[in-house]
Amino acid sequence: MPFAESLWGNLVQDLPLLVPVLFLWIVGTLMLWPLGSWLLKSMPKRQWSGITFVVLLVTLVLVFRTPAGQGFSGMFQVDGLTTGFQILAIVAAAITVILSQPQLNALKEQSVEYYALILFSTSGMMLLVGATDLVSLYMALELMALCIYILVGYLREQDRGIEAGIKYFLLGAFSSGLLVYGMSLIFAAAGGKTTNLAALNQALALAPRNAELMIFTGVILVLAGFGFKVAAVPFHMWSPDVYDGAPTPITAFLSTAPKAAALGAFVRLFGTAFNGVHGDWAAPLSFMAAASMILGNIAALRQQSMKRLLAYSSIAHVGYMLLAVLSHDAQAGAQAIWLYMLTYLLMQGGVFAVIIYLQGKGEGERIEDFRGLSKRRPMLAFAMLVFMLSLGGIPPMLGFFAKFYLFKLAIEQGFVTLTVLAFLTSAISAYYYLNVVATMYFKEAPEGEAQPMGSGLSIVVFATCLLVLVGTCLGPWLMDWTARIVLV
Amino acid sequence: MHMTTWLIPLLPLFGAAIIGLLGRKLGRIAVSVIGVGVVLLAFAFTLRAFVLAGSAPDHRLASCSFTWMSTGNLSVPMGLVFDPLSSLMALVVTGIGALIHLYSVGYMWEEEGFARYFAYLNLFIFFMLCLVLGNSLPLLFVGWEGVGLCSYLLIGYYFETDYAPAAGLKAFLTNRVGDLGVLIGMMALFAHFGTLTIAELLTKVGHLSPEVGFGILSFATLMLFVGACGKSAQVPLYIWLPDAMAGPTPVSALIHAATMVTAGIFMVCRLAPLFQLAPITLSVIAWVGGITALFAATIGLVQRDIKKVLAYSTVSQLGYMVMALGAGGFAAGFFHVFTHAWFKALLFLGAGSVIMAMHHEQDLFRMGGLRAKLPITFWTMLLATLAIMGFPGFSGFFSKDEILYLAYLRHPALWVIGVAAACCTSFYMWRLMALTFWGEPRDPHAYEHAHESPWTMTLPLVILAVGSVVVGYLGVPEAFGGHFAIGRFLEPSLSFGQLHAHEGHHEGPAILLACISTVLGLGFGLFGFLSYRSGTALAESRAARFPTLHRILLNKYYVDEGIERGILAPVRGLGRLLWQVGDVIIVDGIGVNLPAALARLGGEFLALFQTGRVRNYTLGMVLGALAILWIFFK
Amino acid sequence: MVPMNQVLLVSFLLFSIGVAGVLIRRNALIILMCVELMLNAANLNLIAFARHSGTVAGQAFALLVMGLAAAEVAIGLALVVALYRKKDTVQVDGINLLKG
Repeated sequence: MPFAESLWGNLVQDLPLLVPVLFLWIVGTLMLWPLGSWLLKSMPKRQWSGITFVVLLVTLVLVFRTPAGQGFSGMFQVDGLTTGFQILAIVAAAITVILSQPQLNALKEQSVEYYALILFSTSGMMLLVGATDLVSLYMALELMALCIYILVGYLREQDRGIEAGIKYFLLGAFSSGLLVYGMSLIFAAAGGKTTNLAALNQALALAPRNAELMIFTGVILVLAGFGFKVAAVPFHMWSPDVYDGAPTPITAFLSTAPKAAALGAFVRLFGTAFNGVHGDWAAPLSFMAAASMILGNIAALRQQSMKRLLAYSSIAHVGYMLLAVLSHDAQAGAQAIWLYMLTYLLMQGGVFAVIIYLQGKGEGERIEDFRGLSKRRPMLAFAMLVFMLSLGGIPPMLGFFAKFYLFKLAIEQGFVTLTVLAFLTSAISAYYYLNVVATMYFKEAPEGEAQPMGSGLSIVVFATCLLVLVGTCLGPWLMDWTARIVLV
Repeated sequence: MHMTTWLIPLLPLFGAAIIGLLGRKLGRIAVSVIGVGVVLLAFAFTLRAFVLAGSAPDHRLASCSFTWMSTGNLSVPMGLVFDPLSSLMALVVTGIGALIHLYSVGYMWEEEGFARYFAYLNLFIFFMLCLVLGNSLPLLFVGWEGVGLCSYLLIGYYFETDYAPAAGLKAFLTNRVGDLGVLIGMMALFAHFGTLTIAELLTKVGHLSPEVGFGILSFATLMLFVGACGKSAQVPLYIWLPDAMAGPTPVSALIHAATMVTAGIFMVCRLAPLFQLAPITLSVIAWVGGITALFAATIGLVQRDIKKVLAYSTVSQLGYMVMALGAGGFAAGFFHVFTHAWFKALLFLGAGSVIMAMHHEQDLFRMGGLRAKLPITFWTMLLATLAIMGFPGFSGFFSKDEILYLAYLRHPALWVIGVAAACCTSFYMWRLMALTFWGEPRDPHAYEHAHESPWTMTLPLVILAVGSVVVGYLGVPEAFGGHFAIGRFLEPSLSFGQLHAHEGHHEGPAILLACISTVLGLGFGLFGFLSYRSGTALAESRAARFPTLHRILLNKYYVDEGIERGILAPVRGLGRLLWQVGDVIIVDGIGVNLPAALARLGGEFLALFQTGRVRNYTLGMVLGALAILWIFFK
Repeated sequence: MVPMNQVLLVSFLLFSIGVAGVLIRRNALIILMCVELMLNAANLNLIAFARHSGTVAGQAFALLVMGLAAAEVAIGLALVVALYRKKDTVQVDGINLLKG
């Protein structure tokens, strides 16, 4: 059986690239069966969050130890971009796991499956950022998304929970329909010979002139599919509703990890496969970026719910990051996005930790609930102040540093109009961020005792606050790390 | 040497810092020791620098200076300079300052904010020394602003009352008007000469001849003089000084009589070679000084508050000094600063002693007969009164006579004004003495409990009294056979090595003029004493005979009311207009609220599309994709 | 041999029917079926062009899409069942608690 032998040989040779992903798969599967349902059945369910956290830490170590290289017939590649965005996905998942523990406890909804799904979804993201083929790209995207559909609808006994789940699923399925059709058009236009991204780039360059409409439509549909995943206007409409209805830790997850992974893949896909047809997607993407900045920031102004506010502000932040995707220099763009996403991840983690503390049993995340937080819990209010200032991009917070780096790149790449727009809309965003601060510091607190805060939440708030606060001082170190985000 | 000179201003700063930070924990005794000690030490170091500067070849000792700021062609050094003028002034500041600090220990002992008071007072000494010793105009200005700040803080020391904070604010705001003048003057000088270092500036000025007409020098010096008007309480910016009496009495003695208020005169002396080149400014100065001297003295005639009388007296005496400057007698003006510092500080401290003995009673008409109860206070104040009225042989006699003589040389009308002011001064001072110490006690209860002050208060009184008598002999005018020694001593500073700066020639009827003014002064003093010796009845009947005049004087010529109606009310109206039209409608409305409302409206509009229905969302996605296809496909 | 243009046309029609169905129908199950139509339109393209060029990559892709579609339907049906249990309906127009 020479075929099977060569297959085995290739597999053994390429397997090291996938060690972290395989590790997640194995642990996730074991958690579902037999560990979760049989062997460790008597163990309290809430301990799974700790175990999952440790698993993610081990995965992080494995990611650092994974050698660079390409494998699986050119379907998967480990390079600086892969490693960098894999780290982001894992950190986001780890924060989510810590945040999940107190809230699921309060709701009495702990289960092994929840944590296993987070692991599987994370593995999908890790594949997504390394995918160098339409097939693996689509497969990874679906692996990531399918798990998140379930997580969003996890609280199926709540009206809002199931509504969010079904909405996200239907819209997500629709968007992946658009994505696959777009991929098939591009595949067809390239002559139907290859699905490899690099090869596609060459084939598209040789495509006949009458295929132009097909290529353009395909690119736009792919853009729509990815735009949906990162919630860019006009494919954003799911995000406020889903953020609102999903369990709060999953909202935190949703606003960071899939976005990081999808943006990583975005850069790779458009930077390699569609590099030759830059003219086709640059203008539509800049339109999406501008629309996202404007709509996200303006719609956030009227929000009363903190989660919806963050959903809209997240749309705006994606708008800023799309500026970097536009960059002609894909590598510099990827670096700026990585830095921005890392910062964003920390800020969101901290903010959601505060929200979860205030929510208690998963109810009430209105901005009003922040009234008088400075009296009730001064440290927490201060941390929230830091996060809000950082999200608003006010110096000397880390958020300013990342935003500055991003905007600087955009100016250098000649997107002056868009950058000015980004500055202006960023000024609008200061209004609603500072409104939260004003509510915390200048409004009377409602009656009632301050509740104790879990150690997990405290650690997340403390650590992220510290990083956001002093992060700028670590500038050189951060830049050093950013420089490793290399597209090979 | 360098170290010890730097310690002179820094010691009080350390004192202020320590007392200010640790005040409450230190306790009163430690605060007193530190507060008085640092100023005494500073005095000792100043004395040493004074002697060393005197023995230096050019009578000048510049302490090491480093560059404070350097931008473009502006380079400001930071350093101290000891020349006859600045070192003598520094001696007054630290010497009389130390005495008043000592006096304050007794006077303020019962006060709640004892430490706060000493922190401010030490800080004041620091800024005052910066002003006096600074070698550049910016450093002088730092001190200038700093003493204004301390003055504001100390006037408002009794912050729980209504009037003290208001008085502090009035002083501060009025001084801001003057400060603006100083700033403009400094900029004009920099624009013209390209330097702000005093020595360089005066060197450059040296080979210029007096300006004809109104030029840059006249403009710059006039602006600087506006600042001097603010700080030294000249018409029309004197209004803050009488109100400043709301502060504790030792503060009135130190800041509002002996040192800070003379800063304006000091600055003019500092830049004397420059002012000498601007004849227009000099005549403005002379007339402003003369008018102030007479104007304030007439108001002082009818005041009932003992401190108010002394305050108007201070304004009047400052007017004398300024008039001397305008007459070209910089040395004479400064000599009067020097003598006035002694006797006016003494008068204030004596008044403080009386006020304390009378349990914070300041109304002259409720005092009387205190001679026996407060012997030390009485005798020292008597000496000070003789000094201020110009009794022959006392310090005020020599300095005032020199000024009057120079005024006569400038313009005989100025001499008439000066003599009239001197007569008023004699009158109200003897009125004050008679009402306080002679006659029957008009408040028997308070009289019963009155007693002499503790040694911390009487010791400074005695030392100052000795000074009030003898310091005049430092400058016996040539008319009386002296050599005007102080003039010669100050010569290097005032002329800065130039030849054309010298005092007026002593000729004409010097002795005659002195006799006329002295006799008139003594006569009015006697008149005042006799009028009030046996009580207030005689004076009241006289006031009833001239009701209008009396009312005008009592209400200080309605100057405050005039300023309120003529300046403050229109300014407030303008402010309200700008606020309601400029700020509320234009800036807040069109500039801020309109865009905010638009953005909010945009948010509401966008919310219409966020219906919550899956079908609308899919439609949105498809339409969005189609729109992109349609718009961007070439 | 069927010309490629006609394959594209058929797949486009299939895709359009799917999109129209998603836009028009209110029943969650039917929306799910319409999404399947969209995926199959893509599959048609993939297989036809793979066959046309004589390579297998497109066919493998189509197989994978079919597999993932099945997984998607499984999850979708589970969510629809949960929706039905909670709200007694599978009409998606009725669910709009979350809006604005």
